[in-house]
Amino acid sequence: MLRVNENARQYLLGIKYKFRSLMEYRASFLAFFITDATWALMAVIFWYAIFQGTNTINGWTFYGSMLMLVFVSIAELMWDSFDSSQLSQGVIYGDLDKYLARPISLPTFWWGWSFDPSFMSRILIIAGYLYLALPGINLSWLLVGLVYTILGVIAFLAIELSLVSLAFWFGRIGRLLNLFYNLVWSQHMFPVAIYPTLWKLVFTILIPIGLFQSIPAQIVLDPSTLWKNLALLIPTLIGWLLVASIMWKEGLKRYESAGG
Amino acid sequence: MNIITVKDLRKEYTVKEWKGLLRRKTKRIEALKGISFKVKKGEILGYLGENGSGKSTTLKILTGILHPSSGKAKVLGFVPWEERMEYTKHIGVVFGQKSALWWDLPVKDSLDFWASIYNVPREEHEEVLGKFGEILGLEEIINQPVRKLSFGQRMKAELMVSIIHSPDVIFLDEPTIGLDVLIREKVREFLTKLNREMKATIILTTHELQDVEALCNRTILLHKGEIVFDGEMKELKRKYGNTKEFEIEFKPSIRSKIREMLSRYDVKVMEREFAKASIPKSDEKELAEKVLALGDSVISFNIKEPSLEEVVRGIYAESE
Repeated sequence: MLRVNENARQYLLGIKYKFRSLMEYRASFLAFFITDATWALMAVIFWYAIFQGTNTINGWTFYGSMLMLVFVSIAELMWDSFDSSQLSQGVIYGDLDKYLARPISLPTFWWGWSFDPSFMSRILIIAGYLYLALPGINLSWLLVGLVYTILGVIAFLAIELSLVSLAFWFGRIGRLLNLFYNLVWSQHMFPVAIYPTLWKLVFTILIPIGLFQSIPAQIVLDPSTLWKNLALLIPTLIGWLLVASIMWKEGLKRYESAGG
Repeated sequence: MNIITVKDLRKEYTVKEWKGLLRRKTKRIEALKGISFKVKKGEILGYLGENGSGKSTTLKILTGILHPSSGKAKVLGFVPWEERMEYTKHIGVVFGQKSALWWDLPVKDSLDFWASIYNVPREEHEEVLGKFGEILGLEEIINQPVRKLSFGQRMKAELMVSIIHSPDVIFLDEPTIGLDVLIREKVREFLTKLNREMKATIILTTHELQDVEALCNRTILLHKGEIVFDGEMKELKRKYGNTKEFEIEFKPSIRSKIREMLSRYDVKVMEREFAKASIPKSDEKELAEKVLALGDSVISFNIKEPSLEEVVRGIYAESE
């Protein structure tokens, strides 16, 4: 419990000082906020235009579409807030030295330090999507969907950290990470319904990258499979957290730093 | 009381060499070849060595950053790489080339941040700043963003960050690298006060031998991953400094006599009106008498102890 508290404290400290640091460049923060809000507004206008003159398209309502945007935005926000990809650069260039020689809990502190306050604009946008979705959705279903999304993204982040840990063995792993990210983006192109069952299971349960995409995110919105997927996701999540933890700890033993 | 004990510490790295277009051969490089030493509480230890000798590797192992390939080390009763989180609360570190400061924030924020990480109460934090900040002229820079500081000012801030939690042992990896003479003197003054008042043990790696002479009561000299000397500075000079430096300024008319007189020694410089040579200590008196016999043709001459650089160079040459 003490360890958890210390991790949380360091994470919040990282955020606090990163926030102060970024507030030195307020214009950049404002520009990001405006761009993000404009993009979100365009998405709402797009869906609103599509549903003009009809209540459903292939069983989908406007409210369901907004809910899908809620889940996708939460997944993206979590990914951006806990992105570990830059840690691999720290491994190569010896930047972990200054943290390892101090009572810093890596990668928790790194995540806090990587926090971008402009992510707060996303929270407002998610709240906006939710406001638009609420009149047409079941609240208990929304909560289960949220739990599924959060657990799925944690599993995804654990996979990312496991891949990043490979930098301790192989050095530059940028291309491997790119391959993984490309796999995520490739899922974006087609509706989840077109995939065979095994493929769907792999990319929604074993490697839950489907969550990041607007169309495969339908899986979260399908009440007939949601409970089953949630039950399957929990052992997957535990498994990936264990893999990430072991790989990170073993990786640190192989850390070689860099010359001065 | 020993607070650092290192026994048969080894560190190997794997490097790969290309053999043809696709084939690579793995080669093991020994950065540390089984070094052992102990450090007493309150010592200031100069850890010297040329580039690539293993100084920084030792420091990185002793600060918990690297895991050794084999061997043992204990600092303050901790095994650094196994108990990193608890152990690092008791040590301070400065890596001359890896900053612990927040680039965009004033120095004060960096100090506050690290004080929070180490859980240092506000009063203690202020006390440390008051006690040691003055020597480094901290009040001039404390409200300036780090990105606007000169290199020397940044190093002063790094030093303050490293002691904000009153550590028992401080590891300094080339803290004076690239600093001008005045700032270097301030840093030395700061470290001396730190050692005296905080009773901190200081391990200092440097290329600046004047720092070692001014600060350290003990020196370890490392060469290619092995300790070639461990002892007091005086002993180092006594043991290896069995030569003296002879310098003479003369009129051009006696140049050939001087050349002949120095022919049996290691002549470093032979110019029209100046010569410099390394002579055995035993020849000091005889040579002085010969020079005096040359009368007014000698403008000046000087026989002095060798510089530490010369001594170290001699040790390296001997251990080759």
